[in-house]
Amino acid sequence: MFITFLRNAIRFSTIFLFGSTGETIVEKSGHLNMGIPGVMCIGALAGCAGMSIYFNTLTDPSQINLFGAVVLGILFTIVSGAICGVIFSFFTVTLRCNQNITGLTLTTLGAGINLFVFKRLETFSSYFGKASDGFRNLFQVEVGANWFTDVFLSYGILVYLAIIIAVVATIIFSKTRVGLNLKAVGESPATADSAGISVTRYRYLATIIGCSIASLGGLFMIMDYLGGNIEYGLDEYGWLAVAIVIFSMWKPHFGILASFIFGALYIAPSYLNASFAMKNVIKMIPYVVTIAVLVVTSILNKKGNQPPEGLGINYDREKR
Amino acid sequence: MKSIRLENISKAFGWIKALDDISLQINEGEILALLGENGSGKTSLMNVIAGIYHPDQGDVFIDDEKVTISSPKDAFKYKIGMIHQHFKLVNVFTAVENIVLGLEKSDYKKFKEEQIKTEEEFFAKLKGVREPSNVEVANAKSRIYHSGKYDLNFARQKVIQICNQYGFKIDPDKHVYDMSVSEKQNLEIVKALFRGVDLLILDEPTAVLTPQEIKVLFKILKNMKADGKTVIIITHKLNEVMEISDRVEVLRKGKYIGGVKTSETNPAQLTEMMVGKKVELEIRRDTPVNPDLRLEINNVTLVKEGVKVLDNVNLQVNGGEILGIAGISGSGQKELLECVAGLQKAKSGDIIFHNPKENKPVTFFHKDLKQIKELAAQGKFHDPDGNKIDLTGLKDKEIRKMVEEEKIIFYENEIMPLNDKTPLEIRNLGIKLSFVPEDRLGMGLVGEMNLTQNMALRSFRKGKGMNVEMKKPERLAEHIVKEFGVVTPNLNTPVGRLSGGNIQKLLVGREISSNPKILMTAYPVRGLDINTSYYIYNLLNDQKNARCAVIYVGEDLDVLLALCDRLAVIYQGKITGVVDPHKVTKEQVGILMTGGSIDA
Amino acid sequence: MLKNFFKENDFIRISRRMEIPTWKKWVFKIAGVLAGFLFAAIVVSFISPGSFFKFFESLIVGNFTTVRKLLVLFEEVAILFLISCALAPAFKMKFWNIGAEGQVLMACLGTVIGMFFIAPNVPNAVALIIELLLAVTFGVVWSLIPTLFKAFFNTNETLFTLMMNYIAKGIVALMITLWIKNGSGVIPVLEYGRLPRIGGQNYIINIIVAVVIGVIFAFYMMRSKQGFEISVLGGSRNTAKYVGIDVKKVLIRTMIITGVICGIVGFLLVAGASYSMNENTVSGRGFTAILVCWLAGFNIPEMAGVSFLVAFMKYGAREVESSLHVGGSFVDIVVGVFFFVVIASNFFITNQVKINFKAFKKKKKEVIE
Repeated sequence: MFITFLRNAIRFSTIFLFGSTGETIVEKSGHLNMGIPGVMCIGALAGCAGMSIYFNTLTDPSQINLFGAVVLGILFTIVSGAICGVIFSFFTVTLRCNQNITGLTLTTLGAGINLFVFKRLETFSSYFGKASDGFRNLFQVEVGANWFTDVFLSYGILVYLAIIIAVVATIIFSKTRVGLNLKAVGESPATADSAGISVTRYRYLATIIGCSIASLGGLFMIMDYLGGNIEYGLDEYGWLAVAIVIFSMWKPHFGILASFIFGALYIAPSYLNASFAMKNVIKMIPYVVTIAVLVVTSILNKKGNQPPEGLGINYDREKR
Repeated sequence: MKSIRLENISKAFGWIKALDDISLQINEGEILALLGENGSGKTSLMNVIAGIYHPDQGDVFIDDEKVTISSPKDAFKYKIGMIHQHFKLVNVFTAVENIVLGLEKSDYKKFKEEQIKTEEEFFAKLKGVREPSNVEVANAKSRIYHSGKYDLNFARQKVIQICNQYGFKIDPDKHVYDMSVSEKQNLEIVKALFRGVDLLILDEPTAVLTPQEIKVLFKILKNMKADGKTVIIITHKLNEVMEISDRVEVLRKGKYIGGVKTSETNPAQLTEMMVGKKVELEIRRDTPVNPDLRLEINNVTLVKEGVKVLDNVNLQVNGGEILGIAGISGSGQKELLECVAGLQKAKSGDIIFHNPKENKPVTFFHKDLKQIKELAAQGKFHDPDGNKIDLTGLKDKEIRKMVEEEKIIFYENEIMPLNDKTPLEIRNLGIKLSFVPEDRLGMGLVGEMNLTQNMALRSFRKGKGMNVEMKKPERLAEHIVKEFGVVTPNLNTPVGRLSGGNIQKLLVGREISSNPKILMTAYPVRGLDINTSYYIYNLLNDQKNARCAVIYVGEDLDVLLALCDRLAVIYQGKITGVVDPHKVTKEQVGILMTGGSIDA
Repeated sequence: MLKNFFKENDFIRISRRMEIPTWKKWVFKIAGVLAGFLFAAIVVSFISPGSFFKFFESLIVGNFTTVRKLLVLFEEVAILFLISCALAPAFKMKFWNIGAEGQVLMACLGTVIGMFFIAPNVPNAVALIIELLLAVTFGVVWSLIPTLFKAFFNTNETLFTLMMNYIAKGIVALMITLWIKNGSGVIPVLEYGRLPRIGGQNYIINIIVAVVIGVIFAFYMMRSKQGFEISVLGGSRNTAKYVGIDVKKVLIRTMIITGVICGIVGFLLVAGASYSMNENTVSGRGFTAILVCWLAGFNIPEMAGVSFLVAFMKYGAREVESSLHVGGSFVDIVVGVFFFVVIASNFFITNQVKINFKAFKKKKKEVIE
């Protein structure tokens, strides 16, 4: 029972991990993207829409080429995330609009488009159910043999991908030239600019890449965790992912642990024998924990764990 | 690079013409001073060469070839580097990280090739003379370790080499937030040299340095010139121009005025070129008449984040005098003024205000009825004949009549402790303390608000009722605009749009409009043109003559020595000396500024 | 590269404006709104081909054709406007409270407590007063918690208030579970403690309240000493301290005002409109109000205008949704598109775009040659 809980906690944490790694990359460049929940919604629906184009050519769910479906889904999702990144950057870097407002509008739009498109895709729900097997099982090694394989080797591709991406992100931040440049853009765009780094390019690219990664979180939720159940609201997870960025102090490898803790807390109610009312209380715990973390980190206020100095502020070279 | 030529450069910001058809030439191997008042366009012009500004019109020629420098990166390609007044450093990075920031793969490859070339040249020279020793071969092999990729170790080595060559002292792994101002400046220069610049532009480099650090900087600049590099130093300080430069080019209000060889000119001529007319360079200093003790700062200590920002400070400020405070930026001057103003709370010590009241009648402007009765009970008043006053048993109406007829008179000055009081409490006690802070728009004014609203900042609480009374502030604004010559389209303009000089005139005007008993000013003429600066010096003199106690925190030692009646020097939160500006020398003040001591 | 295109060539020069005459600013604002409508119509015609003009028709039909529809429209305007008013002083102080959704929800909860437990046993007027007090108290408590942490520990308010939204939803769900023993998970429409209907319509009092509060608030923000303090604090924190404004005090006082107004909104929503509640009673209007408030530049009269536009748009879209059977959050898409366009139009207010036609001709010549 505990193994199942552990396994599902790790699975659930993937949505947070994608979201927080993506948003960390975005925030390192100085963009505070409150549109991440919208990005996740759009990611989910884009992947499903892409797959449905393929499904349209079939007559029966059993005909699905699982590998193809998975690849198609991931591809469409990443592209949609990238487009969201472009939109956000266009409004904030080129049109110089307020970042918070742009993000919130994106979330509103994303949540709206989400439900709307999914209603249209209802006809394919059985196909989605079958396709989710691909996401869950295709890269699995083995399941049920012993606790070790269950805990470490029994996941779908997206779970492994999330962890790999987080680790790669950390390495890039700390050990490469590009990582250093990106950090500079987020901390002090004026400095980066005078060092010859294109603030515009880095902000655009970081936002595009970050949003692409975050969008995979939405796809994962629908296709892996929920087994193809497409009628589900994803906003909450997006906000918790933003909170995890702070919790992990903008370090993706901490984000892995933080996402796991949040994931475990989030699904804990279903594994406990408690009354309906108690379950409601437990559902609130992740949010309370986030608040506690916010308060504690603001009291402690250590220098290396602060947000990038230029976070949330648009850069204008000719500002006197 | 042999020369840079600018032809007909123009640039406007909105309706302000920053650069107006400027043409001038810079030659290899010279130290050129770009001289002009604040606002004359010096920084803007250099920003064009450094790739930060795009000229609206005009061209730049390097070695007689037309070039477009569209970004700081481009400038580096042409071997031009600029050190700005506000340092472009990332606080959380170390020195090395800041230096390599922005280098590309191609740069690292180039470094590797240069290294290999140097070694090959070394061995080529040896050929035919003697065989290289095993040690030399090993050393050469170890020097070409650089892989041509992003590598902080390599950068560290090269930084140490540059430091040794020109005379800097930099710790490569120190974080910027731990560095002093002059260390940061050195870091900026090394950053440019690391990229192999031939032309280095420094924007007002000495503003933040002590006299000793300025000497070190000038020595470094001379070393660079000896190495064949070209230096442009943007400044408005004439004595530095005379000391370090070979040639001077003068700008005034965005136009090019002319250029002279330093050896063929003098400060008076340069001033005339800068300002456009003969200027009296003397700062008026009236002899103080009967200065009386106004403010006592006794053993004040202020601790912030575990550091003693103010350490047992003892100072006396007298009415009718200007007390100057000199010190390196960040020595505690700002915090001292803020402590007195009630914006920071001292950990220990007393700040005592001596309210000049001796033989003055009490008025309802300063005290209300209850306070008057309390003070009378303490025996603070006498009547016009000198006898003690007892107000017990008198009706309120009778007391009011006595106040109006000026029959209740103070025996002596009021002693009012200021510590632990907020600015609001200080105001409500009737203490007239005015403060012109260093950060004009960030602290003294609200940039988005218009002139009238900014004048209301001090007085908006007055008056009964819920609404702010705007008529008096409006009249004050009109008065200041007229008296001080503030240039503004109208009273509704947001003050953030006005130029620096006009902003400062507004701020100073508001602060002295209340006839303060203490006036504290921090760097009041920073960024202002000569005329406005002298206007402000005269204002301060007038205040002094009106028996106000003036505190002047400044960075220009010449001004401090010419304007102040007494001069205190602060270093790391301690007062290292209080000297007589008539007698002390700049060098002695410099020593005090870095914590040394001089024989009194 | 595209960005360089904008900066460095001669075709289009973009530069920051120094200042802009008021009339010009309004031209751009109105043009932005009209463009917003246009783009929304275009989006609609993509989703449901051929319905471009139907969109505009629906805007009128959905909003103006019956008295009931008018009332519904203005009720929505009132709610959006009031929440924006609640947010405006805090936003002006740069305190980013995005928890209005939760604050109003908690106020609704307080009202329901009054209506459910107390109202059946006391005269209606008393019940109403108690409900209002409960609503305001709940609203204030919910808005003060993040404020106190910000005031004393400088905790980031954006995320804190956001989390409070979800906790509020959880508490409401919990309460419903506890009170409604039959497990239906729904609070029935309550009989007692309702605001009186005027002329048989139940939104009228809400609308009147919104107008009254709006006027009072406008004076408060623009003329009063406290409004002045808020403006100073929003302009520069250091300047506020310098003139003796107690930042903590003003912050707490302002957020109490936010809580009070959110309390009033909650009260109106429950006792004046639906007489019941669930987790979705506020239905995202807390978030929409943030956009309204910001777009209006925290200016009370403009907020009324923007609230009207948004509500107008929303009900028009709803009409399209039902008449064309498109369903599913179509409204959010339309409102989202509208906002994006209006935000983009702000760009033209802060920047000047000059197109150099001569350069176009020159380039064309070069290409031909």
